[in-house]
Parts: sequence; structure tokens; C-alpha cells
Amino acid sequence: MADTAHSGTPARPGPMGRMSDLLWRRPGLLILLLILPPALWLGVIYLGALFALLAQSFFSIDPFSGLISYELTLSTYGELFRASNMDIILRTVAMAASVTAAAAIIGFPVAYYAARYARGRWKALFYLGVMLPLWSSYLVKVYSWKLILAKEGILSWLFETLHLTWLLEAYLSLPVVGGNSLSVSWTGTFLVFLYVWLPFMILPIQAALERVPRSMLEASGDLGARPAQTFRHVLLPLALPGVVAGSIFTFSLTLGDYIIPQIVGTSARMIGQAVYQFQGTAGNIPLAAAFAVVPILIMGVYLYVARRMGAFDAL
Amino acid sequence: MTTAVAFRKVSRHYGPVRAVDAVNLEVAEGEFFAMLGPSGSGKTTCLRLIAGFEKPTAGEIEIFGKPSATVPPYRRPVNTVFQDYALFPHLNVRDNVAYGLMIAGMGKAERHAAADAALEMVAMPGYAERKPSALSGGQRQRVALARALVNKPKVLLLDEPLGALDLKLREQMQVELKGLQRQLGITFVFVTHDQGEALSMADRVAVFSEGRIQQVGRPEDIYDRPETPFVADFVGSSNVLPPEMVARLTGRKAHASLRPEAVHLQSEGGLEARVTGQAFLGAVTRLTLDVAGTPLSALLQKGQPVPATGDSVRIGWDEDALHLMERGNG
Repeated sequence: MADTAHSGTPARPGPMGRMSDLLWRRPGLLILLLILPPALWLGVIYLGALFALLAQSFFSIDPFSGLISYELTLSTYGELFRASNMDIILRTVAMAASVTAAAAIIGFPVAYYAARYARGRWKALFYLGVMLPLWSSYLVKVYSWKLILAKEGILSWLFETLHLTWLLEAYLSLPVVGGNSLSVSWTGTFLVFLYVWLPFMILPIQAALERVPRSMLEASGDLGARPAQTFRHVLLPLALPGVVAGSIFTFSLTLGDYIIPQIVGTSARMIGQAVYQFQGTAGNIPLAAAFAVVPILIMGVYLYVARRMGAFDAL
Repeated sequence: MTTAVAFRKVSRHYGPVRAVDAVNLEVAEGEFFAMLGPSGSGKTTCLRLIAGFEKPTAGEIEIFGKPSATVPPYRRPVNTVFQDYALFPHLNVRDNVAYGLMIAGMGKAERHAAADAALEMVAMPGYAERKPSALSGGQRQRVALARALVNKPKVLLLDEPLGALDLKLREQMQVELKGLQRQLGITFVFVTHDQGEALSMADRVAVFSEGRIQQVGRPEDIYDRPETPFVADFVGSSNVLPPEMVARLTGRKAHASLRPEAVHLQSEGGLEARVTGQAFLGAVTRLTLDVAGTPLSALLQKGQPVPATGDSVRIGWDEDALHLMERGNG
């Protein structure tokens, strides 16, 4: 066009060329085009659904007709505080907390080894080992654990072979963690949760540890700190954002899961199962919604406390 | 005089690579000792061997007369200033400096007072509450220095501590470091690849090349009387004359070093040379010459006429400027 006179090369022909020129002149437009689809998806569909859920929790169900009454009320949240519902919440939080703690304890050394010592082929092997379980179907993994933990399963066979059946029996006779067999005990639920979510703990810790330069640990030793002190005063604080990131995964995934406790575990329900049943068979959408808000609140409190305790200071 | 650090035939090999190869070395107490060499010459590995981050493949390192083979870094009476400073990002400046004292079990009020005093010493008071990320490179360097010195080490190890600073700051820190060392009387072992830095600060310099020590001596000795062509070339880019040429000049067949500043132009006599280039360096101009196939450089003081490239000139030097290196190639 007319302004080719100003530029060294002629304007590129065709609509694509003009488009490129336009985007080059207005980089903001390109960013807008890139960000718009995911923003729509996240904003409208995801946040919208979340908002609809939140709104539902402020309605209540008419006890006689079983119909939803669309008047704003806090009575549904009040129901959460009934003893049986509180049990569900406390049970789920206890499970999520113990799974998270165990995953951090098991995951840290693995991540530490991978970040500090593994090189080349060993590193590839580490990633493969950690990621491989994520490639197979979640249901397959859970059912195979049921086979491992069942009364006639691999684990009880192993105990029998080692003449340790009495040990397993003694453990199963313990209150709370025990049961008829491992596959119908809280221990079983815990083990499956731990297995399924462990990669989500290891990978963020490993990423955090990778960012800690070797000289930082050497400096601590140089200043007189024994390895245990270096761990406590330098390595752990620097890895803490990774641990917190991992624990967000393990904690929230455990809080919301409704399949694992259904397949492996006792008949006592967890939050996810309660949501599933209230919105399905029971048709009590408001209570299901109120239950679904609980993990969101817990995670909010968790992140707030983590921040106050300085978990993100090293970021 | 007490020996602070002694290397007895110390080697450190990584597979086939001999990072440090049978090094013998003695650093006296209270000395400012520089390890000078190009990257990969083994000087930093030597420093890490003293700190205990590396273990020697062979040989023994003694620190104040005690063998150190079984002593872990956290029990050695040495502290290090790291090249990247290695300040703890999650602690503020005061807690960084007080870290060693905290580990040693000193109470909070006491160690904070000591840290503040150390920050004062490195001219960084008022920065105690900041995080390292809020400091400039030069400020971090000072904090790292304070963090090491507050523990009153017997030997302070410095790994290219001035490498990341700009020229002006570097020159200022050179003066301050030297003053600090005098004032505290602590043994400093200083690793650098900058020959000017080593010569201006150190009491003695060890020149490293390919895992071996080429020469140890006072800066003047290293500069004026290099023992190997490597030292002559690396320290102050001296001219190295080949044995054939030296044989023609002196009758003795050996490498010889010739300081560029000792070479002058003259109207008659001396050697004939062709000018191959000039570089203006401020106070002086560096003239590159070709003497019968041997490259040579000369420094001309400001105000002297500078010949053009391709000109034929005659050069000479003071009698004692030519230094023979009988040790050969090292």
C-alpha cells in the first residue's frame, strides 16, 4: 500500500502477510489471541461450574417433597455439623494428612537422590520409574492393589511363606487401622492412596531440589554445620516450596477421591463418596455441594497457614 | 613461622583427568597466598581440597600440622568465600552472617551482635534486614566475606571472589581485602585467574598450569624472574624468546623471557624488527613486532613516536632485562 515507500521491503502479499505485519505492530493483540481461548475455558466453564456449585450449597432441600428450595440459607452448611457428617469430614482430613505426610517422607529421599546424584541414564530411569505408574489406568492400578491386599492375595501369601501370618493377624486385629483383611481396612486405603499419588509428591520436590546449588550445601558445611544441620537449616527450607506444592496435590487429590475408598477400604465413607451419593442416589444436590466446598476451604486454610509459616519464602 | 596449610604430593584425579597432579605447597600462617592460573589449571580444586569438599586421590594435606584426610569440612578451621557467594536465599543478611555462630550454639542476641559487627567491618551496616536477593553483586560479596570472617577462621579461602565485579569495584575490593587481611592477621588463600590481582595483593603467588605448580614465589620474583615459559607468558604476557634466538644473543641455549616494557626502539645497533601492529592502551601503546620470525611485543610510553605497521625498526633492551629460564618447558 501507500506506506511501502517508508520501508525497505515491500509489504508482504496476501492476508497472511498482512496478518503477520499487524501482529508484529501490535504484540498485545497476539497475546490476547493466545490467551483468550484458555481464559474462556477456565473462566466461563471451570470457574462458572465452580460458582454454580457454590450457589447450590446455599440452597436447601425440602425434607417432605425432596425438592430443592431456591431460597438462600445456611441450613445446608449447618447439616455438615451433624455428627455423622462431621465424621466423614474428619476421617477424610485425617486420611489426606497421613497420606501427605507419608508421601513427603518417602518421596523426599527419592527426589533428593534424583536431583543430586542421578545423571544421564540413571536420571532417565528415575523419571521412567516415577512416571510409569501414571501411564497406566487409575482403575487398573487400584484393582491390582485390591488383588495384592485381598485376604487370599499376594501379601497374605507372602506373610504365610515367611511364616509371619501371626504378624499380619496381629496387625489386622488392631482397632481403626485393622479389619477383616488389608483390602477392607483403612491401612489398605492408605497404601493405595500413597501409591497412586506418590509421583505428584516426588516431582515437585525434585524440581525444588534441582534449583539448590551445590555450593549452598557446601557453604553450610563450611560454616560448621553437620549434614543433619544442613538438612534442617538449608536444604529443607529451600525444598519446602516443592514439598508444599507436592502436598497440595496429594492432600487435595485424597480429599476429593471417591473411587479408591470404594474399592479398597471399609464401608465408612469419605467426602468424595458422600458427594457422589448425595448428588446421585440421594438427590440432595445442596448437601453434595456443601460437602464439595469443604475440601476447597480446607485447601485455602492449608495454603494460608503454609504461607504464614514461611513455606514460600525461598521462592 | 608456623605452616598453616601444607600439600604433600597431593593429587586429585577425575578418571583420566589429573586436575591436581602431585602438588607440594606450603602456606605460612598470616600469609596472603594467591593461587594463579587459567581455568582448568587445578587452582580451584586445590582450594576445595583445603576446604574438604574434595578428597585427594593421593597425598596428604595438613592444616596447622594436622593431617586432614579424615576431617570433614564442618570440622576444619577454615571458611570459604564462594565464587557465587552461596548466600542462603531464605535468610536475611544478618542471619546469613550469623549462620556459623548459630550452628556453633551461640545465643541469639550474642550472635546477632557479632553479625552486625562483622557487617560493620565490611562496610555493610544497615543492610542486616535485607534478603540477599535485594543486594547488588558487590554487596553480596561483602556479606559472604562477613559470613566467613565472623567465625574467626584460621584460614580464609577465597574462590575468585572478585570475578563477578566490575573493574572499579574490583580494584576497590582488592585494596580493602588486603587491608582486612593485614588488620586481622588471618591466613588468606586466594584463587584467581587475574595475574594483576594476584601480583598486587599476595605476599606469595603459586602459578598453576595443568594441575601442576609452575612456580611459587613473591610477586616480584614471579614477574621479573619467571622460571618457565608458561609463567613468563601468563604473568604479564612477557615475551618468550626461543632457545635458538637466545643462543645467538647470549651463547646459551635456553628459553628466555623479556618484559615488553624493557624493549625500546633505537636508531642503530640492536636487532632489526618489522612492525606488525599497534594497540593504544592509554598510558602506553603496545607495539607488536616480528624479529626474524619470532613475535615480540614492546610497550611505548605516551609521547614517543609510534611507527606505522610494516615499518622497519631497530630494537634493544637493557642488559639485565633478558631472563634465562633454565628449567625449560616445565
